[in-house]
Amino acid sequence: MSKLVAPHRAKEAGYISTPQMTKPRGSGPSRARFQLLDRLEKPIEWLIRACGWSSIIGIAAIFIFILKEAAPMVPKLDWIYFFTNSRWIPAPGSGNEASFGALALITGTFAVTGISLLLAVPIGLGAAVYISEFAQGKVKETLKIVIELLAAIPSIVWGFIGLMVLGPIVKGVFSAPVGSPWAHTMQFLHLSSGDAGAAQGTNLLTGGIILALMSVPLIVSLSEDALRAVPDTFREASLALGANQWETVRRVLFPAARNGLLAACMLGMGRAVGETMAVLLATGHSNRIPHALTDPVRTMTATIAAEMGEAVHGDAHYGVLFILGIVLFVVTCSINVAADLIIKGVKGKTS
Amino acid sequence: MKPSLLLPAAVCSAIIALTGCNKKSADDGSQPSSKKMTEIRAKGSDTMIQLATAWSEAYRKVKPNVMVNANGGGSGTGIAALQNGTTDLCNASREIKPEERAKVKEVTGKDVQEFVVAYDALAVYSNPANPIKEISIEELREIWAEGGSITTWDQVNPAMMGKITLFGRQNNSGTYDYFREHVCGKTADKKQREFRGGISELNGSSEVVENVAKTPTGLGYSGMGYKTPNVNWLHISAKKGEPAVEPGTEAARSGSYPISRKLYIYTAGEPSAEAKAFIDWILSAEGQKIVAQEGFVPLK
Amino acid sequence: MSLATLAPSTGNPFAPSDFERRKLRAVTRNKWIMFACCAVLIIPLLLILTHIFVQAAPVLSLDYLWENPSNKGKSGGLWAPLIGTIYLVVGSLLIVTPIGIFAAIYLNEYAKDGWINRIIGITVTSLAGVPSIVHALFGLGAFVLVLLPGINSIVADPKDPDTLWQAGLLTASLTIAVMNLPVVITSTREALGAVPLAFREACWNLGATRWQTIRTIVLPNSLGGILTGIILVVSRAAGETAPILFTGATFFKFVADSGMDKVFPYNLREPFMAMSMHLNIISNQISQMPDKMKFGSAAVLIALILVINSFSIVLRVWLRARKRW
Repeated sequence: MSKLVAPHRAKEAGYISTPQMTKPRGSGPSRARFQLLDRLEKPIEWLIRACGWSSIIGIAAIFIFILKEAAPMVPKLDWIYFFTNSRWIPAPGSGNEASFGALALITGTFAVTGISLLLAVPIGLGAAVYISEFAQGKVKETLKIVIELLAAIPSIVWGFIGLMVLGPIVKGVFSAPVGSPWAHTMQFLHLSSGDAGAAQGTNLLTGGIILALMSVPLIVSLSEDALRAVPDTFREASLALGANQWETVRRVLFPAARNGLLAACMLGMGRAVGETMAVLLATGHSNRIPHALTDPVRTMTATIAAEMGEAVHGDAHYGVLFILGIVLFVVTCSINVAADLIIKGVKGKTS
Repeated sequence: MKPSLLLPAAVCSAIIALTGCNKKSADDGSQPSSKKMTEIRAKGSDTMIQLATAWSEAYRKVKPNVMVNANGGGSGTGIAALQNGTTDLCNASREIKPEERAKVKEVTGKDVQEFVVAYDALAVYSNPANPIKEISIEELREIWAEGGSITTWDQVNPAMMGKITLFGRQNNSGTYDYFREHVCGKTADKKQREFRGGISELNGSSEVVENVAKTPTGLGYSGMGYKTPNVNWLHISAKKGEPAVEPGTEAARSGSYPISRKLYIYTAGEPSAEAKAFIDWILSAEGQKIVAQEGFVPLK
Repeated sequence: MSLATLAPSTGNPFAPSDFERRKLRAVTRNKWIMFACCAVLIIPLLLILTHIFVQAAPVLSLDYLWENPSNKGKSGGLWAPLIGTIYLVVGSLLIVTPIGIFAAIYLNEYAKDGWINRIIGITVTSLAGVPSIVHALFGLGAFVLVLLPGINSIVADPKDPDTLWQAGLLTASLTIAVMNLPVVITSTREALGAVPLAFREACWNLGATRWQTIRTIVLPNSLGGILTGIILVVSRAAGETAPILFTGATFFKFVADSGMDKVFPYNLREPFMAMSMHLNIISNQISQMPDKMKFGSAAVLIALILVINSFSIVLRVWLRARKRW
């Protein structure tokens, strides 16, 4: 360490002035390493900027590559038939034309999603309100951890649960000997199509329940965030005016957090529409428009997953499967972007 | 350790682990004691998957350094794999179509070689609670084909009531294809009739049998090797009024049972030496004994 | 109505009236309904998990984890799929972590406000919402059909099939990496945002450049949140099935039964086995599969995921305790 010297005596003491004085002194590998990282700053900043664009590149790439594989089929597909007919025969008999009517698949997707939302939205909102407003301390912590673990269970496991655990239960509940009163009631209430009750345990109802269990954690955590974002002053004011807790929730918090809650439900719906493995295992495989609650159905996602193996690259079937992928992509992207706009407001508050 | 060094260190060690220490399961020159492992890929029919696995395991005892990897997915998947070049052998429970042959020739430049390895009979299964014991091909046609007129059991035989619940296979299955071609028949202008909508499409021959066992009004088709004590199989007559034949070894081989078929192995071009040896072994007495054990019909 | 009728006739002037008592009952009733909503989630889940583990109990053991599956999964263990999942997780982590962290740094430090931030925010949300099967189609279309032939034309020898790059570990890792990019970006952004502005201002006042600030102060202090995001990626990569269905996972691959080849069986250019794929095929497509094998595979996968996620929860609790500001 050199001696401290008065500035006007620097030259005599042998100190050299400015540019060389800022040369880093000291020695050792750490100094050299810092020098290296500092000199790399410009390239690293370019790298950071490039990575910043990675998500835009990602989304664009997904759209481009799927469109590329679907492109040969896009002009050849009869789009009206695709959306209005339920005759899906990709592997026809000799001499026949393949028939790509996706109405049953689309109906299947939305039927399963509808049933799951019917179950998930009330339960999810109820649980979110309970966790956010009424639970305290340890109970709240435990509930939040359990919801998080529920969210972590992979979709294939949910499908397995639907197939092996829930399926037999549903089939057991909805079965009856031919001609018995329960069988007639089930047919009358559109609970089952067959005369002996549900044909399979894996059907619309099972799939809907499993999807509901999968979307609930998402709805709960997002709703909870929305409720937490409402300032405490709202609650205090309401309680001060004499409302009890439930009235506060119903008349003050729900309207205040309305946007966030709606977005939570939409994101839950987006998740349900896009789910693949759970519905592949749990909804059965039957290409039909469901008429009863326990009909086996087929969704778009399950069709792609199941039939991709047999499609030859470049074939009509292959192209149509990619077109189904595009339809799914567009639907889920619109749901997500809409939910995002609802949360942040159309004018654009950055998060 | 400085966080900025953590990342490069992790990257380097992981790259070393992933690529450096790795040996492929084939040719490994550094270990003098291991022989060269040959892998034969077989893909295709779910009907034949049990058979293919049994062959694969028995062949390991004959030639320990040849590994036959058998995968399912349906005959259509196997033929698609032949076209994509991702398999050596294709197991098929139906004959390859001329347009598929042409596609393989176009993509790989080789002709498809066909080997018949066994016979099979497609049985039509019903629930034990169902008193009906026999049925004709014509009635089956009206039950299964698009636009068919029979939807309830009492249209077949007043002894049984209720809507018929149909269980079939998924559309890339050779069994699906074969049943459609031989039962659904043709329309008035000579085109192949498709299946009706709303049939449950199950993955795998034993799933069909399990589902029929659990559904009193059920009806399903599957290989005759998959029968369990929980289901009955229907005797089938070619025309209504003719004698009905039960599925069985002799009936399948002689063709008196109306829905009997051949099981095939296809290759693109001449099979490699090891694959040819495997196919020869399948056609020999040992391979055919396994065919009989699995419930199919051996060639002789 | 006069004040006299409103006031209760008994002594306590603050006792609730009929109207208020009805409302209080409604509050308790609604509280119970909402608690029931939570219970409806938790109790069936616990019952299902117990059922799965009870059914799997006959097969679960350390040997089960160490042996390879045999006879198409009808007997034997789970080693080959387990090690395959570990490979997949490591591979995708290596790809997604640097890109995601740098992207989050860009969003949080370099491009704070403005339209670019908004657009990237929207694309991150959209990417997060893309269905897993669409990711699989993208992996097929981009990596298997475009990247692999490119690699093959450069490094592979057409006469030697052993050097050919097939759809395998590389393509599957890339697909899973793209899927998990939003997770890393979001969690890193939150972690970086939690570092107070005062820290950065102090650094800038001392003359440090932006990159120096990030490198020395911001990143080390947000390491906890970044780790949470990484653990989330690990959990998702281990559980996902659809993206690896046609980009590299296979149901059957020969893995040695002992030796070095057992611990390092896979390489980047060949298909590999994975737990999720294994569970998918054995529950659905193999005839006469004993139930206990199916439940055993599901139980091991669930246990793996729960263990990984509990690391994340413990980490978060520990970090919150350690926070110094």
